[in-house]
Amino acid sequence: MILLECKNLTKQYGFHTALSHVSLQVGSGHIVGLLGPNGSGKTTLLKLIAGLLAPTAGMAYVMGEPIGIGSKRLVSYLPDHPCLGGHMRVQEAIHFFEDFYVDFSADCAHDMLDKLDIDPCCRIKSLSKGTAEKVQLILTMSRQASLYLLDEPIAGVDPAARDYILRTIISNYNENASILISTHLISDIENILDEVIFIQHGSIRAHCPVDSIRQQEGKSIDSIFREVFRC
Amino acid sequence: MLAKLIKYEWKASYKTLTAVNLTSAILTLLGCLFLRLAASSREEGILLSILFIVFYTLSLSAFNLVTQFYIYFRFYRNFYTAEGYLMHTLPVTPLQLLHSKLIVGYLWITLNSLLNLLALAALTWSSGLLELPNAYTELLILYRYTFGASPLQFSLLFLASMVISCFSTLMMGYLSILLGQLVEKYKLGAAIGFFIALYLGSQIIASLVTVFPSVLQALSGRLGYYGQFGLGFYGGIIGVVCLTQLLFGAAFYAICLFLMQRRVNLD
Amino acid sequence: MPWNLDSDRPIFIQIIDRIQADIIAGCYQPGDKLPSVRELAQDASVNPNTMQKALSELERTGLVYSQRTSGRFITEDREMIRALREQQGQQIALHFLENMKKLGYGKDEILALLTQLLETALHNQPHSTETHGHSAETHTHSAETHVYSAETHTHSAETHVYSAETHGHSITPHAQPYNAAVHAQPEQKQQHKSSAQESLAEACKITTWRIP
Repeated sequence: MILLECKNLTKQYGFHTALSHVSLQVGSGHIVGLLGPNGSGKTTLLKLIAGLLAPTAGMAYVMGEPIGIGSKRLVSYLPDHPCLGGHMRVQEAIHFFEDFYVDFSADCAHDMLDKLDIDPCCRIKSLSKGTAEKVQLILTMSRQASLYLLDEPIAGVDPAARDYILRTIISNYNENASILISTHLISDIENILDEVIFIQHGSIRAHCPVDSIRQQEGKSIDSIFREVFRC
Repeated sequence: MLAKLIKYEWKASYKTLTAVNLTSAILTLLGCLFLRLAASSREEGILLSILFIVFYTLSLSAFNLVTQFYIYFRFYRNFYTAEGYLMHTLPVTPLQLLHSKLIVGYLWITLNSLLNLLALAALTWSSGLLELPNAYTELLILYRYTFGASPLQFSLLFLASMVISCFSTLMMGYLSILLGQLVEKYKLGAAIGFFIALYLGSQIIASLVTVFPSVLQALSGRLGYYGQFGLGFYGGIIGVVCLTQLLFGAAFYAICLFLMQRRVNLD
Repeated sequence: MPWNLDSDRPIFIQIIDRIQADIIAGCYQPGDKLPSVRELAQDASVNPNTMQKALSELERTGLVYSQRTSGRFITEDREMIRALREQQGQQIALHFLENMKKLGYGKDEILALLTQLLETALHNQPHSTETHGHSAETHTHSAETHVYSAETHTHSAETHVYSAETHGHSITPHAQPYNAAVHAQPEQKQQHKSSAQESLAEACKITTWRIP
């Protein structure tokens, strides 16, 4: 089943082209890495699919639904910066998600907060940056969405929590959903990926299964990335 | 969904706005007490009363502005800054988002204006003016003379115009923010610019429109005695003001609806 | 048990190697039930699809079979396991011999070195120590005191310089954790069991064998 389909997606800001004719398909049951240097269009692509940007041209569909209220029900998006209201407590943020998303599990969220030692009664603005990111990730992953879009989920997080987060991503895996992860920390994450998309200057350079790259090149994705995108 | 949006918008805004209104109410109470005490017609008492009234009127206007701009600020912050990433990925329609802000914002602005009216009434009552002999009859004559209508009629019209202008002011603010989003860079600056433009434009148009009937009357030679002129002049205004504000409000609202339906472009 | 998967090579192949090694070592007894794909994937921190691919491949070779409702099980065919063990042993030995040849060792020299090392190893019982901060494989080493000259089998002890790999990959010195050779004998039929041989109860603990 094709979960995500992008047809000729283009996004221009005046004279600058952020994305250029991006066409791709992602099936269900995959954990896909979206890899590329800074400014390559990864965040733009994710925001377009999440419905936060309007494309200059092209279309995107999530399970056949065009980007809109229908697709937003199916997509769980994690931005790369904090977006929760500072005045809220963590507990209130959980209620918020519970209220708006049918597929949200408050028990799951509380469980994860517990494991990561975060007090639900804290105000979000009083949390450290890394902890606030963890909270956001927990809220995103506590949904049973069809498509998860994670923009740099582990960048600001300590290594132990990183492991926990990667294990959570694996445990959340189900054959009917897919996860699209955009990240720079390739070596940490490459073992959990089964497909990878290389993007540069707003266009897709490659989209293939991870093991076939390893077999072909005999190198890790991290090494290939460094070679391909060498400065 | 709309109800939920309203709930969360209320939760986010009630603390600040309750504080503002509460402060205003406390000031009013103090003012009333003060006026009662200073009602002894000593010279210093009267001077102080006047000073107080000036200060008080200014602060009422200030609180009104604070409420108004806080509502605008909530709209901007919740939709077009980092929080927008959360709000615009919720499974709700853009119109639901707009209406949730509209309803809560309108409630607060109207509440604030009504409280201001009540405050003025309370001050008037406690200043002791109404306890003067024949105060009410004098007031009635004054009303007819100035406004060409009984206090009741006038008050109702005045209330209506206030309620309508709260709506149009609110929509003007939201519209300027939405117009600001159309621009590529410096969206907030553009929003402020649009607001100033819309404000000035609407004031000019309103002035022209209200002056117009009286100019007509004057030209048609019905000057005669000042009282009659006064009657026509002020009598017509309130109705025209109501109508103008209603038209503005409706126009701003319609454009807001259109702009909200466009796909958002969050930075 | 850390999996220590190398990003340079296809993960599913490494998973297959590891599970095969575990079977040979006796961590999984014939007939044992394997954990679910999801559990294994979480344990190894790999994509469940990759784990699924590895397990399907193992099913194809017959080392593992699945029962629709109950899950996956290790084969009861001990012959197959023994054959696999011999095949792995041979490959490791061949690699070892190849490398020793590159160093210029002759047949007698190799035999002498091996005999010496094995004797020393016999005296220094295998103990659990960490290597240089790397976590080592969790396979048991059985210390063999005999070198079979009559048969074609040579049980080699591990060399701690080279990581032994299967499937024909060339041996390259890695700074990676060392894969140790796996030589636990689940069978009790062998006559030539030395006193240094580990019992199965000591299987699957972390051991390294530092050759002085």
